[in-house]
Amino acid sequence: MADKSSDVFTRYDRFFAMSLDLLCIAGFDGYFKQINPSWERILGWTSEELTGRPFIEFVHPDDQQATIAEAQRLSGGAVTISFENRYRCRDGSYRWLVWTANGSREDQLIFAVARDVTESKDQAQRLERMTAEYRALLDSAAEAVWGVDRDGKTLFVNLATTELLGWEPHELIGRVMHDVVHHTRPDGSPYPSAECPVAAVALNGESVHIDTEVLWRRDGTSFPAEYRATPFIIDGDVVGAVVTSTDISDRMEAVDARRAIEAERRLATSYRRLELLRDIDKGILAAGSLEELASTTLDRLRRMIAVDQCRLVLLDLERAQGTVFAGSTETGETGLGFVVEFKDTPFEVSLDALRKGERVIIDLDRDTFSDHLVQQRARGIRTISIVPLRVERELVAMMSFSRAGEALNEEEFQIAEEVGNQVGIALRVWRLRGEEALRLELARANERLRAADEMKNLFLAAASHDVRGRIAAIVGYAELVANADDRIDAERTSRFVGEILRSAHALDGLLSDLLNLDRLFRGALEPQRSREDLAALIQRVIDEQGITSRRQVELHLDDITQQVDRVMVERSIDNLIKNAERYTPHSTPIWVHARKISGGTEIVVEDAGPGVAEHDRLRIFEPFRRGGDASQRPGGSGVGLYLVSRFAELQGGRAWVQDREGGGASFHMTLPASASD
Amino acid sequence: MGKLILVAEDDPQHAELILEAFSAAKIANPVLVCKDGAEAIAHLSGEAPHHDAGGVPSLLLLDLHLPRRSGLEVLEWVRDQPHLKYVPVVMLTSSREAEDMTKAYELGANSYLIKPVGFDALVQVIRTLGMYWLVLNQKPVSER
Repeated sequence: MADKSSDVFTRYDRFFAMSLDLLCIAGFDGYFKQINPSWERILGWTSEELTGRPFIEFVHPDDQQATIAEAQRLSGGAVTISFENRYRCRDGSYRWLVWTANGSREDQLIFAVARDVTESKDQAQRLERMTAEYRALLDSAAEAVWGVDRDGKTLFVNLATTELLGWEPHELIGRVMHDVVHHTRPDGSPYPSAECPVAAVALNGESVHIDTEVLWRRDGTSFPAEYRATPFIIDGDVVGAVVTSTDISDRMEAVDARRAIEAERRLATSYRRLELLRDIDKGILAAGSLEELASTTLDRLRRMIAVDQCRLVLLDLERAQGTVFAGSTETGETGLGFVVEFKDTPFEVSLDALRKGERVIIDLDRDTFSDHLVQQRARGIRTISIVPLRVERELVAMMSFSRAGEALNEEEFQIAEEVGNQVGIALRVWRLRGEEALRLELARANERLRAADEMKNLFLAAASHDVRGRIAAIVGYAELVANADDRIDAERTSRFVGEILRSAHALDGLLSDLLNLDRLFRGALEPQRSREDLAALIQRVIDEQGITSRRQVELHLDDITQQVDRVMVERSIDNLIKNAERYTPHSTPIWVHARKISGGTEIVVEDAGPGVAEHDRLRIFEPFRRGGDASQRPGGSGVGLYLVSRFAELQGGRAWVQDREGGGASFHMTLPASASD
Repeated sequence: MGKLILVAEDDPQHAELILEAFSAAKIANPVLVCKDGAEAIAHLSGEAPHHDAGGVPSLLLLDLHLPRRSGLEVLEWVRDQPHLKYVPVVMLTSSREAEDMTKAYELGANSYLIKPVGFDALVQVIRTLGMYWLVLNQKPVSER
């Protein structure tokens, strides 16, 4: 029996020892009396450590209160089922334990079984948190988001869905979403749910993106919507679809407006172009000559493209020349078909690009690389846009558009190019007819002759006045001396002879200017350099003029010896001083400077007169131009300053006018030294 | 001594020859030369430094091409001045342009003479001018 009871005891003992659950017997005194090895395995404490202290010390502080209360209940004879608390492990972590226990008042003992539920406890908490987070995420989305199952029934909706569609979540969940919000197409026809792309997504798992349909609100209105439907996959199975959707009415309106404007513009542009081209075609057909063709074309172009100046230039690449046809006489460019050299014009720098058929834009605020452009800029031109005209890939002409504003825009360039093509075709026709080329050549020659003739006439009219004046003086003084009576003594006689000489020199200068002008126009003037003492040369010119008897002249002449064309320099100084004398009150002084500058000499003639107006500063160096108000213009042939600037250029220098410090004009002429200086 | 004769002539040599011609023609009136139109107007309006010239001159000789203010401008100005409108104005110029001539008469020039070539011819012109305008010609009553 003893053996038997001992067997029973051993069996219980073994059950106690082998149980995977935590088994224990605790005393009402608060100490574990007996624990099974699972405690040691799960919490890490030894049984001595666990039984050596009141068990409450192992309980999580937050759970101690409840644990004490539960223990008291047990000591009162109650039973515990599913009481949860946390026990501290040896490593400081806690395990969730769920208890089943029974108290025995007679033994003053608690018999308890606990199970470690830490894992499932954590998972449940995470799940709860995740669900809350996803919910928040969904509700924070601006787009409406909802999910449907494979039957199209609504699984969930977010807050934005209610805002967008007006339906409350409980009104949607469980219903077929398509039938509620997607039942009718934009054109008003019914939209069967079987044809809904969302249903297809829920079935075959491929995403769709749609922005051409409408969604219907709870109040019966609809709006253009964009939506994406992606498959709703759980554990690899497509269980439905998730739809995100937004209202795109604003975007649609903007697109509609833009499209309308665009279409209208295209229509207007093509109509205008059509009209223009038809017009120009007619013009080309009707044109009896190149001039007529050019003037028709340019006239029409000016109506299409607002510019200050519009030119068609036929190119003669061999001779680096162009025949310019100006669009209108408004700009002061009278006559069609005058010939220009490319040198120093915008065309010179544009040729390479034009040959390739490219457009060229010259920005005069930036590119003022030639006098021509500086002049254009002075007239207020800011941009020059150029399009090439090519016939069979060969550059034959170009059209330039100058204006005070921006360069041509894309549309204007296109118009110019289309017209250019038409003109190109016309030119080809003209070219095929050889006689036109001949006729044009004749016209050009005529034009050149006419221009040269006009210049000469102008000059002769002015020069003859000056020549006659000098001859009258020479004859006058000569007669005075020849018929000298007692009033004329020897001293006066010699002074009169001096005046005769002075006038003779002046006459010589005038004739020299006349001849030089002719040589310049024929391009037959080359500087003849010789070594000159410039101070002496200037002094000689002033003496011959005899100006010091009439005007106060201050000389500041450095000692300079340099290779120059003596005649050109003499004529330049003579003209500069005469110019100063002519245009300034005789009570004001004239200053003449000759000074060394780096690379040569600068000659400066200054006066204290009214100065030269900004807009006249380039003009006065052109032939037959004179500054100031026409009514106040004194005599003079109008070629003096032109010769000054051309003579300076021929010797490698330049001439210009600026304000004198303290008032008046300051004319400058530079003469670079040559290698032999 | 008669009243002042004012000559507007920018060419200094021509001016000297005119002065010599007055002298040779034995015209004793003082002669004042102005080198440009503005100076002439300044004298006639009494603004010039030569105070004695402020009065009404007995004769005005004007070249056409003058710096600052042209001969025609001076003429126009003179005819606008109440105290100068009867002063005899003679244009003495080398311009034979019909346009210049017409304009001068339109603006009220009394005579238009082409500058002769040669001193003797000039003396002849000046002498005749003096005889006619300073001696023979009867001035308006108020101007005497």
